[in-house]
Amino acid sequence: MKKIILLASLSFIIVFSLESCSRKIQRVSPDQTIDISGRWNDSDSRMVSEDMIQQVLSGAWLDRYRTKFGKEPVVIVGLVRNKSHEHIDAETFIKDIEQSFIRSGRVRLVKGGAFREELRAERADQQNNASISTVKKFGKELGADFMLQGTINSIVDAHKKEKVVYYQINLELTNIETNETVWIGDKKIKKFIEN
Amino acid sequence: MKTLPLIALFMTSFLFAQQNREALDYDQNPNYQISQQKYMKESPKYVALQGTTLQQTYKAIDPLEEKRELKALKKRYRAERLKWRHEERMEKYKNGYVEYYDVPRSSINFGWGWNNWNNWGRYYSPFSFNYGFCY
Repeated sequence: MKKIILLASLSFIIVFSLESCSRKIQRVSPDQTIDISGRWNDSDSRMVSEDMIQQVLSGAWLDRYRTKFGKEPVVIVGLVRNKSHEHIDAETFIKDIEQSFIRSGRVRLVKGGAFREELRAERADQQNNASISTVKKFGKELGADFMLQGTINSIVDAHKKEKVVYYQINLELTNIETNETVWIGDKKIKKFIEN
Repeated sequence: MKTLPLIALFMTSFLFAQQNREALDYDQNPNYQISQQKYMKESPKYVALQGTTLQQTYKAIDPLEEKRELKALKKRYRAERLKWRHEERMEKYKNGYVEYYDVPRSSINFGWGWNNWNNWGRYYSPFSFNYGFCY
């Protein structure tokens, strides 16, 4: 009798311990669209970057600038304002756009913000620590011609268990000297969510 | 001879003015320096935010989401209620709070000082240790 009880309790423990290990994890393609909560996700970010890259590199501003000055424009990434109802980090699609600039070779990119501060700090450090032949000089940075700025907006319409969420992402390129906006790209995403 | 310094001064000021005029670009506003000075001071705070996302989010009207949030809040409060009660009790006793009637505040209870036929009015101190002489 004791053996039976022991066996039963052991099998009970084994079954429950296996049950708790039933989590499945599998690698999926980053291009695969998986919607779980209906909130902003990687698929939305990817859609934005794909559309924006196509729009910015085919814009008339690029040819106009090259015709006028005979060189590639220099762009710096400015601030993106998220005025939507969700926490969205624009860096996911901004990085894709930056990458496309460099890969295409038609737009030059300069660093801004905290990264630039870090570079300047390194340059400053070199003034005292690097060998004379390898010291990088101050005052030789590439000045940007255009600044890329953007906004993320959203509209939510919810009733009972149904919800419509609309996102509008705008990116703009503005001439730093003249304040002339030379390009505006937009991406609109609309989702219908049933709970 | 006396007019020579005057002519020199005039020439110098003319040249200075000319030089200043030449520094301006075509169609550039001659008052540009007012703005330049202002933004030279303010630029670091704007430049630091470059390449980042400024979160200016708002709370959307979504009854279902509100319901979920409320439920989560209730759950959190329920989980923390025990801790809060304990802290409240600790604070009370720290400030000399005694239930119903005053008893000597000994850290060791040897079973005297109150009757033990019920728990009413039993002095409880979280710092004390009950040796089981009195319940």
